[in-house]
Amino acid sequence: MSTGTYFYGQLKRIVKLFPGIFTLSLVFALVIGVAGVLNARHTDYNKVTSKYNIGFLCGYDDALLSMGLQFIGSIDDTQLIVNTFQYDTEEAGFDALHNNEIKVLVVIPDGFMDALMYSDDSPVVKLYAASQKGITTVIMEEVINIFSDDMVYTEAGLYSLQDDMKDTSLSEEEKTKLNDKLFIAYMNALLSRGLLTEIEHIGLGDGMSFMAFFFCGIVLFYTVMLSFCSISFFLDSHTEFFMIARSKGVRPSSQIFTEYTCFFLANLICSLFTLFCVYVLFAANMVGIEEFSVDLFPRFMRFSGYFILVLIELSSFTFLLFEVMKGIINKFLLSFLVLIGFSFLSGYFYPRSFLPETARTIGEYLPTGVAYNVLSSGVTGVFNAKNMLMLITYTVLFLLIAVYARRVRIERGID
Amino acid sequence: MQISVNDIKKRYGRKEVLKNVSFSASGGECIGILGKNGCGKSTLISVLAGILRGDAGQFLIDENDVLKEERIRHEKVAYVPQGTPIIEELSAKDNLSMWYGQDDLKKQLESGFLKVLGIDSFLNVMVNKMSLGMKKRLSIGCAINNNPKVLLLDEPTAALDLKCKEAVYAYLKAFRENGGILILATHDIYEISMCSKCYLLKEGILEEYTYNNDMTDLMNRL
Repeated sequence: MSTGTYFYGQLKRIVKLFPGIFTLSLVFALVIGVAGVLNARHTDYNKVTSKYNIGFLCGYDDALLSMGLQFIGSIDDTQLIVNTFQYDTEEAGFDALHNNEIKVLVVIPDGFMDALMYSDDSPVVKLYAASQKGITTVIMEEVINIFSDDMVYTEAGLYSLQDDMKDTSLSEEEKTKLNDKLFIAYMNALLSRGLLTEIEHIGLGDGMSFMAFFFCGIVLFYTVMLSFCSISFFLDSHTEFFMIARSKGVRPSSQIFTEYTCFFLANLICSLFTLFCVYVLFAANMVGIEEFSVDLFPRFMRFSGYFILVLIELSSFTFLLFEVMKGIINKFLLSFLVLIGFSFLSGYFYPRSFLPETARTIGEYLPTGVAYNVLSSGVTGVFNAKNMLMLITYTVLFLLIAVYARRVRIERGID
Repeated sequence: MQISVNDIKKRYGRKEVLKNVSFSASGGECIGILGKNGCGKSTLISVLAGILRGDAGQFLIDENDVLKEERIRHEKVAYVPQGTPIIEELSAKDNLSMWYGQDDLKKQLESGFLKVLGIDSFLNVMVNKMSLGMKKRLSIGCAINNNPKVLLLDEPTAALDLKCKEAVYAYLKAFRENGGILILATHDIYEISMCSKCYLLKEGILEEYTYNNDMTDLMNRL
């Protein structure tokens, strides 16, 4: 037996199994494709906002204070990042904080407005944050500052005017009218603030349009799970066969190389057929992503090229998983769980930029994460040598480990 | 033809499984390796087959150390493991095609060892539809593709019915008559009685044993 005849045998084997593998891959592609498209179509990501819930604990006797709070949650641009809640008692406010209904509780002490009026800085606003130091606290402090600024400038303006009018011969009625006039001018200025800027949400996910992010995530998840469609290739492979092949001179490295090639070819044919179907849908404008809206063919071809590289790596990863998990009970379930976990951390289901920093860093360097980086390069057209190098390194490493695992398997007779 | 196994050693961690194992045989002989489960019989066969690397020792076939000269080992030694080293999704013919050239396969099926093993009767049957006996015969058929001079068998007829055993024994007999050397790791009394020389492997040491149809004696010695 030579490596060539071993390869021929494995090829024949995958050809026999291929109808089942292909059918399973089509069903799987259809299921996640339909689910993905439906999800994407029914979710307008431009309207999705991420808001913090902020609670206020204060008295509402002062009209300015009440109005300022209302501005924060409804008129000012801060409305895009906060929902405001008002509490009458300290207990209610802290309960809400502990129950995670609000992220921060702002306690405005009695006499705060009077202190503003008389430029006394002794009673300060206290801010209780539920989470750790970081973005929440800083943003909330900024919100409070905006609120304070509004109050301070308005109050200070009115106070100055009142002060200036002390020695004038104006009647109280005229003074009140002037006060009201200034107050309305402030209000108009505040109301017009929101019109100074126009916010447009492009809706980016990890540097791609949300639809492209979705597309990448679905394609990668499909690629990872595609290996499970070829699981039959691993089910009936007996260690005795590898042993006898070894005794005839087919080394573990040759065995792994030939088997991996067959496994990869099956994955390649299935996925290229699926990609072709996706291309047809793109060309018919039934689905699409912004990045491919012009020059569809060359861009899709570029994407397909990157996809094949990703497939080489992910196939080697899953091949290794199935190889090393020989002899482990529920090995396929374990492989499935590993792949799902890796997929989540790598940003297949949710933009990686939304994940906590540690998870983001881990996700970036996982083999599935590197595949994500490379495939997103296929969408954006931005080549990244580091990612490509990592992809190649992972592929070589996985195959080398698989060779070592096969050697151990043959020597110990693990089946 | 002469074979000589000299001072084979094999250690798994702290456990020394084979301690200077040595024996020799001439063409037409059958060597039986006996011992209780886990004593190292399969390890010895695996080392001789080149699957496991021994820590020391030689396996000489006509003065060539086939543990070092892989090419000669592939030509002259065949190994049949305990299980069924064949591809389940393929037919018997497809499996044999991996091991034999087209002409050679035809010849063997018509009048060679494959005929003796009776493989020609189930050539187009898929392996996953075969009985254990058919699988075993096919395994032997695949292993002997190179017309070997030394055949290493690890419990070759375990779990086979009498008819299948008969086919395997017929082949083994023919193999010996053609000057081949058999090395069997076995528990089977009939196979033991077939052997021209028997060895007991106990705590890593191989010692010669003469089987005189006394099971009690064999049991006590194991």
